[in-house]
Amino acid sequence: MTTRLRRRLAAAAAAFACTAVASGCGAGAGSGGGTTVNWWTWDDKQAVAYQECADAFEKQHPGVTVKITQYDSTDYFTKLLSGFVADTAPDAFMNSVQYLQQYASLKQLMPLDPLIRKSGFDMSRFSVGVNDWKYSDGQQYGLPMDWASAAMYYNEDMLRKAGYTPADVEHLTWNPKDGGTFEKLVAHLTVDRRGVRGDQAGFDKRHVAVYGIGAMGPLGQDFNGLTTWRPFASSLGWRIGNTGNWPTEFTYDDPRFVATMNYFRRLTDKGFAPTAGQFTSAGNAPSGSQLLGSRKIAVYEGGSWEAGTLLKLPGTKVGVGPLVQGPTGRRAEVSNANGNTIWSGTRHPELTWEWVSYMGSAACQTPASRTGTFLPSIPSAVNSSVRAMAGQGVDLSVFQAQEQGGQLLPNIPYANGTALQGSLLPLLQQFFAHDRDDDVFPQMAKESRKLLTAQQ
Amino acid sequence: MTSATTPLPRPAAIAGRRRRPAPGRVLAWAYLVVVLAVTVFPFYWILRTALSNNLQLPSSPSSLLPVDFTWGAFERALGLASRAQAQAQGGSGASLDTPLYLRNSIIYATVQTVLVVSCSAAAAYAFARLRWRGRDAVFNVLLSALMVPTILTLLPNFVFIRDVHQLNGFTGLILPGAFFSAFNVFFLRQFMLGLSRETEEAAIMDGAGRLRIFFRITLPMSAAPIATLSLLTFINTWNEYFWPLLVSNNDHARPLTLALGVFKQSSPQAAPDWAGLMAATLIAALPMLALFMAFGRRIVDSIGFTGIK
Amino acid sequence: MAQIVNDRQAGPGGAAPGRRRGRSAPPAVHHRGDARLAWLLITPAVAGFLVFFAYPAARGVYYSFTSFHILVPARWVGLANWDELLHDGVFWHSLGVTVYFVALSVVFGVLLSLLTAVVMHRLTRSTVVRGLILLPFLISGVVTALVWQWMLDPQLGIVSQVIEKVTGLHPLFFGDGAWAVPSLAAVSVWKSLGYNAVLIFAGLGTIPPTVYEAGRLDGASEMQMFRRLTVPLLRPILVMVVVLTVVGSFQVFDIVQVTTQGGPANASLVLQMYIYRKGFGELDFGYASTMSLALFVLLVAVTYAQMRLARAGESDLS
Repeated sequence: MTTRLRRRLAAAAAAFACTAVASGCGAGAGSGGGTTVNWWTWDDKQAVAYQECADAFEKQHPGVTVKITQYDSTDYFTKLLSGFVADTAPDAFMNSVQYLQQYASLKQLMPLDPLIRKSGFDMSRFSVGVNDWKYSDGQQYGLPMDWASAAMYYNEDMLRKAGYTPADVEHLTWNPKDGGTFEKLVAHLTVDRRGVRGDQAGFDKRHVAVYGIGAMGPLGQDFNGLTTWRPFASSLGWRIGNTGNWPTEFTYDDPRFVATMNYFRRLTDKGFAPTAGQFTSAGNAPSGSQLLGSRKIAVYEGGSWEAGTLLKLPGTKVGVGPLVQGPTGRRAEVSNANGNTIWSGTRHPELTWEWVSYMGSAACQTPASRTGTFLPSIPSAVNSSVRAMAGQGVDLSVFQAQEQGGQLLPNIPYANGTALQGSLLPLLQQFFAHDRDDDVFPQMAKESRKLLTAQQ
Repeated sequence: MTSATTPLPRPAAIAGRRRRPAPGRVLAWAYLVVVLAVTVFPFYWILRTALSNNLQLPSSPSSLLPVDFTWGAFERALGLASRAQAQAQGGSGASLDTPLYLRNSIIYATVQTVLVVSCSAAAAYAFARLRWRGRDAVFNVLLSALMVPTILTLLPNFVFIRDVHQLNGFTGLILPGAFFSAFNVFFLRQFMLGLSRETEEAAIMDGAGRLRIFFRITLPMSAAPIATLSLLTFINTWNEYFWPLLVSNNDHARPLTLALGVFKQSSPQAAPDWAGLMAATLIAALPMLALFMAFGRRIVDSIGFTGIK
Repeated sequence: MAQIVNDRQAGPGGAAPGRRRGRSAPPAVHHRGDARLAWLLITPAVAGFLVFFAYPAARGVYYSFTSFHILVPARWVGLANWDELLHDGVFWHSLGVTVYFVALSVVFGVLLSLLTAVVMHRLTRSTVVRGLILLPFLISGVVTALVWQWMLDPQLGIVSQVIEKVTGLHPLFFGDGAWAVPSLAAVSVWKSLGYNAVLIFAGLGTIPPTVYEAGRLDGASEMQMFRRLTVPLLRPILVMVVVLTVVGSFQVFDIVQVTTQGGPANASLVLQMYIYRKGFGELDFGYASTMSLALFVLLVAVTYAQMRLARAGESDLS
């Protein structure tokens, strides 16, 4: 390399670096004197859905730009953290209950009560999730954005071929001893490689072609079982926390929980359900469209947010039914409500609150939720969402019935969510892999006591 | 490397029986073919998936051809598809300003490469061709950086970049790796150690200064390894993920690899847009592949340098 | 690492002072301004080292004695983190997982690279072949992991499909506790095989043909020549490949983060993954720093041991 070339390269490098600095600073200062409200979400579909609200909001507030940014869920919280540290976090962001305590205790979230009071914002408009976003100091830190629950999705052709009708799925009963009509259905829908059904003699559980139901152990990073075992255990009356919000112990040693876990491990051993790893790698939960689309699963307990995709799955006719009824005849489902939280370091608290409260209004929720990718926390918006999706042939009434029938249990906020996940998930996985037996449950309860009460 | 072009003497056992291929040779060819197949097949699979309709993928997972052929995934990854179009094929409908991110990646990788290779060459010269007290000690201390786990320095570096207010542009992205790379210094020093002294001493006789020798003799003689190193650095910078994830908060400095993360699984249990992801992967790797097409022989030959010199 | 190549580089114009003194009377004048210029030339590198390696590492050492949750000031806790480390079963487990991963990556990575290089050397000097084999080196770890996750997907992955059709077995790869680490190692070997093979290939090219001719005259068989001549002569390059693979494998992170995230049941929880989880997940940066330091000490020890080993095997062309 000649000196001249070297010099030229150096000059070019310097020029690059300078433009870089310049463009960096330029963008940081905002363009044209207007104000930008930054809002983040990890959900790509909601990012698209809320863009409609952003457009409307900008129209009402000339000079204001709402910038929606999405990061995938593995990067999202790392990115938020770096934003907190660097003082570049978004003004407001979608948040998960699991992180409420961490962020609130580190003073990264703005308490909303003064803003709510000042603007006369009516919290009673939300039917689900308000209490999930109260921190242990009694303050409200987030507005519920959506709620999610679970339902039974099934391959309708398989169901009919097995001699069942969608109406049968509406009234499935379950108990941890013999599995009730739920297990009868699942066993009958399971087919081995030679076409023998799970409830027939000669069924080969080692070579299953179609599983009656998807994996029911811990999936991906989920130690809460929201779309697997949790509704079943809850239908027995079991509740995860020893108190309401901010529990000091997860009651994993409760006989009802132990019975549920043992039941699902047996169901897997019988060959009616696959193991967690059979449909995906350990780090990620399998998606319903993958499971039902591959036609290797007859019934799949999935999240409400999957309805839009699953019920429109090309080539496979999918139906949706409610969750099982427990021995007392009741259904129970935990509703997970994500929240809209404001970063305490925002430069524009008033304007950000306006945006956040606008997002929490029927005016925004109604058009946004028409995409059918989430269920809004405002009942009137749910209605319009259900109607809009019905027009596309997607029946969301199952979820609406859950809400109206009072089957929804709040997803209680708790401390040290990430640490709990790191410590409890491997234990549950060990149980389902038969590496451990019932002795794992007292240990899980003990771990939860330690972590739920640990001070950061 | 010149020796690599001289034909290699084959052992008599093989050379003597060249007409009838020895079983060992057949076996060796078979092995090589298998290795090549295993190496190249995933790239074909990326292409095949990228040209499929995402929603149809589960229905024929073992089809060797694209399932329900479509350019849709590429349109999504290039930000050309409309939202409705994207969602109909199992995409998210998020839009992407690919040209901008491509530009960012080029700037990031180029500046980083030019800076760190220049600084490394200067340092390597000092360690290889100059005599001064404490040289080996300083060199060994610098080398210890090879063993420092990235995660140990990540956070303090991040805080430092914040403190100098460089989080929103290229400066913060580039700065930590701009001046020093233990591997680069080590590699160039090893090469320069092997250079002959004759030319250098002749220049000294002519009264040339050390700096002049560096620019006029050592650098030109090291052109090949410097080119190698530049390519390696460029490739590595292009593929960097975690540091840009932490540092780049601004669209105007966000590299392509990071921006294409949109296609990774977005929320737990949502169906990943495999087709879009694979198309994005291919687009991100395309500049590297182009570089490779252009300088293939050079890269292959010069990687050899990293070993023998 | 410096020593490995340093020692054998002491050839013409090398750094070995003894040899240089032996050459034509050392013109001390030549090196008169050297020190000043040297410091000038290494200033950027040293500055970069101090600011972005030494200083943060020192901060890391400090953090390891504190309770540090990043957004609130660090609080001095003395040896509490180190005490926790000693009693943290998960840490020792993840250390074991890491060592297992390193062992698999190094053994299979180096053996396969060597075999591939030798086969290429015997069969073809085609740049195209070497180019193709180098392809995986061009793509990032994240992309590599994503692609293999897709191909090894237990249901939709083409590899699983083929294996099931051919053998009737249904391997779970990343999803099976026993197979998670070997699968990760295989992916890592896939990515680095070509690069290492090309390195070794270049090394093979430097072995003078006369060596083999002599061997043949002595009536050595091909296997004998490989064992007695090729491997010893390649030793410096093999050592370099081994050292780089070991240091790299100990720090494996991105492929684990994308595929298994340490699961199932912590079966693939490599050290960096655990450190990341503690630091960026639980914000326990004090303890994460402690573990990073432990990893650093370990790497220094391993590298030092390898240097000793490499020096012991200095046979080369002499």
